[in-house]
Amino acid sequence: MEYLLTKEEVYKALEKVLDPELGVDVVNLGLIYDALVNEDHSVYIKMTLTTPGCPLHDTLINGVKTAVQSLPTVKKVEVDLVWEPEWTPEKMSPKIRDMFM
Amino acid sequence: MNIPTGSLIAKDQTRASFYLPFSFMITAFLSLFIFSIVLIVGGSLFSGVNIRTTLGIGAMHLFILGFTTMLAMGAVYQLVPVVINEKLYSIRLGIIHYFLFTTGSIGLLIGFFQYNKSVLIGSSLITVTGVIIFIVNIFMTISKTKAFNSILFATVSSFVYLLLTVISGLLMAINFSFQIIPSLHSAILAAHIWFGFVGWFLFLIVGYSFKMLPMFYLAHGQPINLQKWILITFHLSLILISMNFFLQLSFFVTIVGLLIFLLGLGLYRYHIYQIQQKKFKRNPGKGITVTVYAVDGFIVVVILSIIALVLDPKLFQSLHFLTAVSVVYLFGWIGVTILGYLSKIVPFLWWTFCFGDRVGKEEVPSLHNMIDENKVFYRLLFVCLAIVVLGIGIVLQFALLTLVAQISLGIFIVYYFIHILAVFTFS
Repeated sequence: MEYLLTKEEVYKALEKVLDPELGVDVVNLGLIYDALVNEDHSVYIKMTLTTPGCPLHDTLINGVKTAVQSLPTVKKVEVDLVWEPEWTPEKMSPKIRDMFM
Repeated sequence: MNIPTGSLIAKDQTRASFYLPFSFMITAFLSLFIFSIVLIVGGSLFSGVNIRTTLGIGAMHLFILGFTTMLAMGAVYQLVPVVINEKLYSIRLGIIHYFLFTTGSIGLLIGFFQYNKSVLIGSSLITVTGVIIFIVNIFMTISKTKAFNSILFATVSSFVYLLLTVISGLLMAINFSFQIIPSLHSAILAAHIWFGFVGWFLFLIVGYSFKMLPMFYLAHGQPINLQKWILITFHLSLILISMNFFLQLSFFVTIVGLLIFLLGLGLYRYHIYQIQQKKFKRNPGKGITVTVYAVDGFIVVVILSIIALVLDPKLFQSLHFLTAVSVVYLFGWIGVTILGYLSKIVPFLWWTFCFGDRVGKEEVPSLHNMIDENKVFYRLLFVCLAIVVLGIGIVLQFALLTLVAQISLGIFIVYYFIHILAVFTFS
């Protein structure tokens, strides 16, 4: 049977993508809303940013694409940037939230 | 590696879009360095009537044109496309603007130092042309977006005053050379200073902070309806005061204008408080913390100035008083705000340039690794301290204190800046 990547592996790869200002990865920041691995080996990522017009817009999206693309068998990465629902600090993982406050 | 593009709405960040803002910034850094050297070795610039000497006027223009305006323009090229998520209308026009503005500014400085009227007029024309190209370029960029907000309103407002500043500067050079309307000369000079100092810088800084402060504080959900009122209040104040320069209605009108200005500042500080109430990060960056202190300090200075003017209206004609207020405003608020923001902007831009492509592939440093926040804080406080002492020295006319503060300011700026430039050692 052909190997199909798991969602967990995708999330694990995305933990390499850091927001340099906050020093936290996009997964723990709660920026990744969804990650789907399709049977044609394409990966669909639904994500947001902490604020529209974020100066890290291009960098983070390209970083997400690069990180997922580096996984075995991935043929295509689709990043869907959404603003609904809006990101809020509550979306961060609890341990990261505690670190900030 | 060829990365396929999905339904990505982002525009690729090309290196060309990095070079343009950075050209302005590097030139600004160079100007600031030269300005600091002038402060250190130039002799007394702020005592007595020295500010009106060619060296004094030249030094102030070096700071305003070479450092603050250069940097502000670079920041506009960097941030406006980001805010509206559109590419700059034309990088080529940006490059033309850079060369015209730089040439014009250098020409103006030579014109001031040599007191050569023809050079001043010619350089003013080049500078005005550069500014018009800049404004057209950004207008064309902004016109791509339908989501016009208070940040863009502030940017457009600042451009109106920038244009008025350079046009009034050109008029002054022409009027001085050909004595067309000598009676209007001081009104044009006052308007030139007021439009440039307050209109151009204030709207830009305030508008930028509407975007940047919530980001640095990681604030969410703060009300934004106050933003437009802050900008409207500043407009009212600027119009009223500059109108009075020409119409000479009464001193009372100027005081009312200043009170409206104070109201605008108060609303602005309250809006910062609203952002702070919704913050999720304890520390927005020490440089940013100092810029907020600078707003508080500036409000205190405005209150004290208004009280002093009401008690003694003759102060409005006093060169010492006006110089002290101008120096405190220009270095203390505009200068410190820009220096503070640089502690965030420089590492960010350099990080994007060096490490942006490596994100997701390998370990990259965070911005905190690239700059020591405590050094930013203490070195910037030294700068602030020198400015306060300089202001006191000028008001009280203590020549020695003024000179020591001036030299200290030059040294502290260099000391602060060395730390900012250390960011470039990361690669």
